[in-house]
Amino acid sequence: MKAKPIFDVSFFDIDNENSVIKFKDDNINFNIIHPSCLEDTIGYKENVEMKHLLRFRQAQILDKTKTNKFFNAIDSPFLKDKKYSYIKRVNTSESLRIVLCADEEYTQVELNEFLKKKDLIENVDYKMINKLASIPKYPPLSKYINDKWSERYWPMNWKGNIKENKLKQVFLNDYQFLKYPKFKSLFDVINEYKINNKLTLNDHITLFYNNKTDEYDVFKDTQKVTKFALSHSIINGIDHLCSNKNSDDYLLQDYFVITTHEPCQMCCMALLHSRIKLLLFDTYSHKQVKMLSGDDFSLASYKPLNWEYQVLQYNFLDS
Amino acid sequence: MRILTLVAQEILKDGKEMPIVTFLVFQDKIISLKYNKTNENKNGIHHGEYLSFKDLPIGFLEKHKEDITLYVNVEPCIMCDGMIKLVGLNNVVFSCENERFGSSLLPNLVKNTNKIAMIPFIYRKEAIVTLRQFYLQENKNAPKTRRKEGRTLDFETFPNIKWSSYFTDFDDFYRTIFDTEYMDRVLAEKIYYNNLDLEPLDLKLIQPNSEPLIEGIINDINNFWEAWREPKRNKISIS
Repeated sequence: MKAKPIFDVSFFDIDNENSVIKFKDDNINFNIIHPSCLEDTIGYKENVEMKHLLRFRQAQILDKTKTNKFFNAIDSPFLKDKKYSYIKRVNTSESLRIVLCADEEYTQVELNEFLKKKDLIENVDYKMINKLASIPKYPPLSKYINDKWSERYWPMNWKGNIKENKLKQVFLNDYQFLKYPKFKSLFDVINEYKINNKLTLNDHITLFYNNKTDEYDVFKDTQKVTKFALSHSIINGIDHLCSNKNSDDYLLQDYFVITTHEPCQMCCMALLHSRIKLLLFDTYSHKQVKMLSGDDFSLASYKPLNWEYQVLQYNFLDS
Repeated sequence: MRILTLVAQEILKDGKEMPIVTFLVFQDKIISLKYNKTNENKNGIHHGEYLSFKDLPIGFLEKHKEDITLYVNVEPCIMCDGMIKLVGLNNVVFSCENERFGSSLLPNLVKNTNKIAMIPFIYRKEAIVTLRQFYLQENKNAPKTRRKEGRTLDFETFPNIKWSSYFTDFDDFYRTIFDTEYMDRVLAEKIYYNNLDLEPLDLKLIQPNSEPLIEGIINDINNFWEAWREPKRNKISIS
């Protein structure tokens, strides 16, 4: 049985600084747990602090017919990085200026040598500008800010709110995000399980939902029964699902995981090894070091690792 | 650790799983030998460490956690590091770093909750060569087998060690790795600051034609557990 992909664009509300997914019909907010959201808010501010500015070396082009030659004259990995594709190369506001590379990539002497190889001669075709160009590190997040920054710092390409684009791609294309009533029914399952097993708010319960087959399984911690410190509900769940699996690989790529508590280091990484798509939890961890909701660290979207999953927070437990 | 390196070679010959082997050692005896079974069990978390812990008799781990040492030929991944913390082991010995998943990748803030004594890089080069041999094998399960005939095994070059990401400072390194009475401090400094390996590659340990060991070790382990039950009962009656 295959469920039809469910598309719903009604839940995006990213016009302000808080990262939430809003279900408009029900007026419900899921918090998006993602540390880079902190950086994202810079794109909403007109004035950018010094520490969030990048420095680039720039030159004034004297012979306008040769402008095209400048684009490929210098190999700057920095400017080629997609991350910085919002920066336009040329500024025409007062004089014709071009950014050549990041401050730390090459010295002015090296730049002159590169340009010489392309038959571009200093003080004839171009003039080096000693003052570095300051450009915000992160792309603007609204058209208004884009225009303001283009005036104040350097011209920029407006490509839409990247945060919104990224979320749309993740939740609509990759995850085929569920509508709220589906989530609600899964929350009800957990709450019912809690009552039936006489569990309290301190007990950890995890639900694994298969997005493709529409099946789900609920698990609880069993450390006390098995006298084994590692029988957390998430580990129990993965072990159970994998031992009843038909396919040949070890991945759980179609799964959404809903759990009552922010998971520990072992469980976060176990989910990552199993390549799940989405985790939603209810209660934030009280530990000093938080694995997912830390200020500048989240294991679910940690760059050195080979997989990342989205994490949402929403209070669904009945107290 | 020598034996572990040889066992990894034996797993490698099988060719199905990553040759990552774990031993649990208690009272100078190996009490568990497990290796990665992610492919066989179709389970992404069935790493050697997890299987080892899971296999011990109920309650044994909790009772003797401080006297058990974990030996593994690759640095435990972030998940297994979490397990080691949860279980409460004090001593871990491993051979080579894990650039993809190793717990040393974690930012310091998270890493510092770690109070385990880690002894890294014992027989490191051998472990690296073993993994290289594994990646040279053609994956028969893959839909399109990549041709790997052109590739050769590299015995000469090894990535640099970052001792500083495993120890807070030189003294910490010196205390952990070297026996202060016999070892040369100057030599230790040279190794630490130049990020050198502890010992040269021992080719004998990575010869594929060594004698099979696993069966013997597993027999010993079974014997240990057979014998273990009896004295335990006596102990209880004495105390």
